[in-house]
Amino acid sequence: MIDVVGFRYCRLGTANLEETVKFATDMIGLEEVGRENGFVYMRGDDRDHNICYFEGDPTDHTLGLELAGFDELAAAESALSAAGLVVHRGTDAEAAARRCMGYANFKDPSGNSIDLTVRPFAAGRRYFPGRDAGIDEFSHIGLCVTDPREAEKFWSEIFNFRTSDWIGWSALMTFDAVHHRFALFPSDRPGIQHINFQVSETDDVMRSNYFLRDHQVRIQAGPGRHSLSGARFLYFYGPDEMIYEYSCGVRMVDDTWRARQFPVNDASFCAWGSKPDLSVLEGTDAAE
Amino acid sequence: MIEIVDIRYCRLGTADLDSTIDFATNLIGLEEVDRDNGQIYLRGDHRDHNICYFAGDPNDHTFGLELESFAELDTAASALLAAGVEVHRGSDAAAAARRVMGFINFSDPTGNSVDLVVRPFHSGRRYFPSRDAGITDFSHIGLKSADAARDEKFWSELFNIRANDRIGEAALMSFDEVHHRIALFPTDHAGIQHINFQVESIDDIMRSHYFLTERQIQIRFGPGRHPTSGAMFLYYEGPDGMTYEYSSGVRNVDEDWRPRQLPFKNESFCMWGSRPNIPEFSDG
Repeated sequence: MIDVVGFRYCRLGTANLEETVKFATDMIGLEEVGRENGFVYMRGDDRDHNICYFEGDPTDHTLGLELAGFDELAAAESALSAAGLVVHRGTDAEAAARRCMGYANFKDPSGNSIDLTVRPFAAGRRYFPGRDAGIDEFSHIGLCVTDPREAEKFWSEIFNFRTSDWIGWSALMTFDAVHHRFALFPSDRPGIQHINFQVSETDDVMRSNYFLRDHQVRIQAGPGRHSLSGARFLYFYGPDEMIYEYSCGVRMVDDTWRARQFPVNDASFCAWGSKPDLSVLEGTDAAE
Repeated sequence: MIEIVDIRYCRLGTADLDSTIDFATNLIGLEEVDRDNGQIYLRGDHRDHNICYFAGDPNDHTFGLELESFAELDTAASALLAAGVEVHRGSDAAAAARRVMGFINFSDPTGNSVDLVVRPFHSGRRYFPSRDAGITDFSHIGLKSADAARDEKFWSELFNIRANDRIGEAALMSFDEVHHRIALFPTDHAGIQHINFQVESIDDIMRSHYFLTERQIQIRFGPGRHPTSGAMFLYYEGPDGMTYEYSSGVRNVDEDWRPRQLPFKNESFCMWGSRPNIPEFSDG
């Protein structure tokens, strides 16, 4: 069992780096913390960074998780190799570019690129953005998987992920007290489906709703309230069609939590009545 | 000083009584409690009724405030007469139609018709609507004023009413701990400018936002949040052009509260960034 202890970053290729960084700064409300060798590091919390953008293929996504130490990293490499996966141990230079002391990369059965990092950087300075979006932290992602049942099995058998709730076959999974760190979305290709930042309160969700609409940013869904996690949400499109989410009030779960099954319908997605795009949960083979 | 102890009801003429009742029950979420002599009584809380609709002039509005006793009613009548205000004492039949034991009626300087009532009816049954809008109580009204500074003076000198905040000349006034019970909005004629029902939570505001939008109800303002009272709100258009409001989380104030002056602009009405489609709220 590989014990994930932290949820750290996304590395995202983008077709237009300057435009993407401008959107992240002026619209999302992230702080640019560094630029180096074509990598631009940004954050929405006090850690070193949450997103690293680079000029490149917009479908090139990597997710960074944190392990407790180098012993755990070596054990993870063995476990993944034993499961038949190819594992790449990052060089010191590659680790430096990820702002951690060491890491290994592998691809999950869907083909999602995952970094398992050791001792990712903390930051001496606190988060100080240029726009007051009320962001507290980078909290979860939607992960595209080719088979949600297989993906749930993989992440729960090899890793310390457990399912908090299901909507259809898609599991919302976590490794800690937060209701979900992964939301699995059926897809014909791997990738990060959305990137979530927690904001302080409903005021922030609603302020951003008006702010983004005023700035002609395309709202994907919401404002709404997730029936599963209880979080108030707003989804919007950024550059390269990436979906970003603000939410607040996500449910905490403990050992006594029993996963619930929700049907795929509007009410499962939003308790308020906003109209979701349920096609993302039905996958590419949904005939109905 | 005339001591108001509660805000009780609105009496509203409507051009099409049946469609108004249909809207009030199926969209606002009010419960019809009775019909009598062409008057239909509805409510959003445990009291006898909050709104009485009748077929008539849609500009014919009256609101009812409660006084403690008949002695207070007599004192109020004298105080109003002394201030040069004409007072009409309601007959027993007129009181029965208002579901109170007694009342007087007068008009404020703008011409708003006000009932001062004694012993308005309570109800044995609890509020049980057919639509779950989450309404907890009838809480305040917006009142049109041809001269808000003059009318604020009228209400605060003759009554136990004080302004708790002002947006431009618009005074948000109360007689109890709720941030506002009567909000004066400058315009050129008399009338009730909006009718507020409190709902339990932001969830109710947002559910109604989607519910009403889906049914092509004109949303006039919101979802938003007032920086004055802190309440989250949704304003929408009902029959006869009347504006109805749901809100949640209105601030309570005490004697230590100091009224604040806000400029007359959009962000004084909404701290989230929504823009009003209500003439009395618009900064142009």
